[in-house]
Amino acid sequence: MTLDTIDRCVAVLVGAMCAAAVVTGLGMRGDAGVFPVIAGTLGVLACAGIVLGTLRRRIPDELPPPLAWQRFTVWCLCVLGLLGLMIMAGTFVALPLFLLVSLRWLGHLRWPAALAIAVAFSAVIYGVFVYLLSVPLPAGWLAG
Amino acid sequence: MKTQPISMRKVMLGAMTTLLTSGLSTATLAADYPTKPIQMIVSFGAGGSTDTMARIFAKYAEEELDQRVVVVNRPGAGGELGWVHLANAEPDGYTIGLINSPVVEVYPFTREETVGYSLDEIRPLANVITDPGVLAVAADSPYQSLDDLVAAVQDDPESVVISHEGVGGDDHLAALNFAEEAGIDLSFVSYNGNAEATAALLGGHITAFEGNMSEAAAQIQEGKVRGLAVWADERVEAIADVPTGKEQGYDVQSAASRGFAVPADVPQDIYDTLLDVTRSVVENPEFRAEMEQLNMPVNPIYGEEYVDFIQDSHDRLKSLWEKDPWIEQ
Amino acid sequence: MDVLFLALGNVLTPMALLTLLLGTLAGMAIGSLPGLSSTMGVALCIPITFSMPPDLALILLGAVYVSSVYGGSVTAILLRTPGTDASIATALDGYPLAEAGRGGEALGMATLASLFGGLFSVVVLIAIAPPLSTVALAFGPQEYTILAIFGLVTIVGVASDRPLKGVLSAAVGLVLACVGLDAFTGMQRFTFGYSELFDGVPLLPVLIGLFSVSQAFNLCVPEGGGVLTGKGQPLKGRRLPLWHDIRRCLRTLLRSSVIGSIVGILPGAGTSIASFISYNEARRHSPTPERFGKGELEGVAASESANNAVTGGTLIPTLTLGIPGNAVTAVFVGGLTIHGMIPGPSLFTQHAETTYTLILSLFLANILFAVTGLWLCRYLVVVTKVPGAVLGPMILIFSVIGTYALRNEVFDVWLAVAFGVVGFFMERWRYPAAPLVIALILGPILEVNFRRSMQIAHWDLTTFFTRPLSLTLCLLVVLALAYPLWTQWRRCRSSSVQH
Repeated sequence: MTLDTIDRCVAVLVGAMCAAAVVTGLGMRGDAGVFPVIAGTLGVLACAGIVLGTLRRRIPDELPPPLAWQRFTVWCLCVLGLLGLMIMAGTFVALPLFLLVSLRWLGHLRWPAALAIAVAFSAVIYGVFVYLLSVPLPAGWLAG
Repeated sequence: MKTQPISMRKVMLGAMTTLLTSGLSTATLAADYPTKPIQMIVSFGAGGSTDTMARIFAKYAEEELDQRVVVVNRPGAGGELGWVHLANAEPDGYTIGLINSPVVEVYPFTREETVGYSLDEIRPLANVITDPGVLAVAADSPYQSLDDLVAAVQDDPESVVISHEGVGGDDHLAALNFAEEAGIDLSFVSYNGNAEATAALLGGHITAFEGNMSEAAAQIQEGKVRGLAVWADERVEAIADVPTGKEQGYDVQSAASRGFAVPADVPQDIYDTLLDVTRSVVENPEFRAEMEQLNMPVNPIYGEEYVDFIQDSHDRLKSLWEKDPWIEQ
Repeated sequence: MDVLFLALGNVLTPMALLTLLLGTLAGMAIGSLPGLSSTMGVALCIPITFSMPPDLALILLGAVYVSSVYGGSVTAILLRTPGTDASIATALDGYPLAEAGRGGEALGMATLASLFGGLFSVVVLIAIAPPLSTVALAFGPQEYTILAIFGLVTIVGVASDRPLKGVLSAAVGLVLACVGLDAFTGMQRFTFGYSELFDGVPLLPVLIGLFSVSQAFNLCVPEGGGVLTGKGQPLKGRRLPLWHDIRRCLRTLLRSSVIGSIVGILPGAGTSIASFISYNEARRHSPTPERFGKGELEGVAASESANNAVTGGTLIPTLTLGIPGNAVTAVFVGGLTIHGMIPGPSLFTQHAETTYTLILSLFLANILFAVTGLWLCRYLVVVTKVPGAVLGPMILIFSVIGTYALRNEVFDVWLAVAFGVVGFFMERWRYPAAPLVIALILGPILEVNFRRSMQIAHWDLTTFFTRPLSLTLCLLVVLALAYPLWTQWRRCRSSSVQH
């Protein structure tokens, strides 16, 4: 997809959301709706402007920079895995695993290096956030 | 760190007792309580007046309990998020929290459809601070008393604008109560903090300021702000010049109270232990002195009495709400 | 004057200097980590200060405050991960410089600018605090409304060469700013039943998502990505800015420091307004405005001197009137009262010695972080050489844990990651993220003050033009809007004359 096509899609999508905000705002009691209506209208106008701009085509159309979809998917899965594991198994199970996996497969580090960084960095996080700041990070399995 | 060996011994002792009596009863648990740090949930952000009180209290409670008391801020939704966490916490005595009356008892009916806790899930432990409401004007204001203000509103309703700190909070309710007593309609403007409201008052952008004693006291003592009324039974020591509403013929009582609560199912003996600890902290003259520095009036209400206090306030406000809701639905 | 010497004696004891050093280092660390804000840093120090004598307590708080604002610039420049909204404008030019291998220079300029702004505001605080504090009172809701509009107009102009995309980004930010319980009616707006959203969309998770998390994506996703490696250039250029560069930026430094100090005095106006207005003014007065946003040292100087000038500014109403200028100084007030010092004029009479100790310690803290910062520059820049796939996961973890630590909510972490993905695609599709964040900050200020004005003026819109101060601000807004159009028109005409 070219940037112009993307712009049009974004404008339609965000414009619809802003329009929804305007409609909801109009239904609000008192003066609570005034600001959503103003903000939403501004958004709708900007969207209309962007669509018109792409139709006039004063600047030559371009493609967005290429994206390595495979790596993007792996990375997204890593991040989702981190959050899921953090909640279920606990922060200090999830952190080293996430670091190990992403450093090994995305960073192409050797296993020992990846392992060393993973453990050391998790220890730093533990020291700063749990030991110094006593943040109650999700503990999961390690809670017992 | 120093306490570690003691608590380890306590754990061992507890384990042995458990083996000997061959049954894990709450009584043996309570005898060892506390064996690990206690979490204190504060439903407002770090650095606020509730938080300051909590952190000072925690300092004294640590000495009494011989355990760390960790203050955990869970601000959000005007305090609701923290109380949801408190209500849903493990009822083992290792999570306690601060509750702010009257807001804590108001949400269950003003936010009936969405609220995440009910008063049945929280057991009030003890009240510590009762911070009466104050209505104040700038020192150069022409209004000397509540009557002056009422006369001005009757003359020209648009000439008087009063600030409060959020719809449905104790300030707003107090001002509404006053308007009802005086038979007038007031124009309100909402400020989300004492600082901005005070700046607006001193700058002459609003007529009067409805807030709490602890926030207004310094400015009143400095002579930059004049207190018109304090919404309490009797005058308050820190600002003894300010008459009560009652003295001027407007019987309005309002205060923001801060106390402690635990999840409802906490075993009775742990509840009693915590109550004793709270009592000895609140009675500690050093703690009292620190509270006085902060202009926070200590008003201890313990145990069942506090439970009734919250319940009564809930019933009274709920009937008010049902008569005339202050939030548009 | 005697008091000043007494205070100097207090500051120059070994214990005080040690506290100052520790506070400065801690503040720099806190400021540079995403999610750990200055407010949090100061609040965390309060319990430590309970057991300290008041002098030391204030030295610690002051040192943490000023150095945490500076600390934010380090990660904003080197990694484009601003920890708070104060450093967003710094990242606009700082990160392109780091990408070009000139991170050392950018850091050096940021340090000198922070020092300049910080010292300037402290001098202002010592010299003319009481009269200046009246500025805080002169600003009513009407003025705040126009100031917020001014900020929005500025940011849309600053962030993009495609203004419409900037407007859209800001509009989305304004709509997001409506989420939550309405302060005036108590009504729920766009909360979809999530009580986590009752206080509005939390700012820092959005900011961390749009900048830090999306930066983790940028670094990790391309094969062999990285701050420097992407451009294929080694670290080059000087480690410190040349005297020539500093002299070029002197006017900008001075102007930004004045703007920062004034905005700092206004309670609740926010640091980001100061840094963005200063950035825009620097660009407007520059002979080469087109270089801003692509790696212009002057942009870094403008933003950093402004945000550090805010630190002294916020203390002016705090100390003279007892009205804290922002969340950090509100915590400060708590710290002061615990030690029996009620903020207000008595601080300058009865407690003058302690107050001047605080002010002097701010002065010293500024110098201390500058020295440490300049010394650390050369080592910190090495971070930009680390491969992206190693930096990325670490930035992500800091973002996730930092976001969680803000209020211990898992919801916020999901929000940050979601905004990270949004930010990643916004950048690819050339939608600027800064207007969204700034609109999210300014939205509530704008709305609340607009409605306050309307309540006070009983829906009379002319109230914005009948007050001298707000009328002046209105004219500034019109100027800010008209100036770019006018220069464009003039440039067109001069080029047509040449032809």
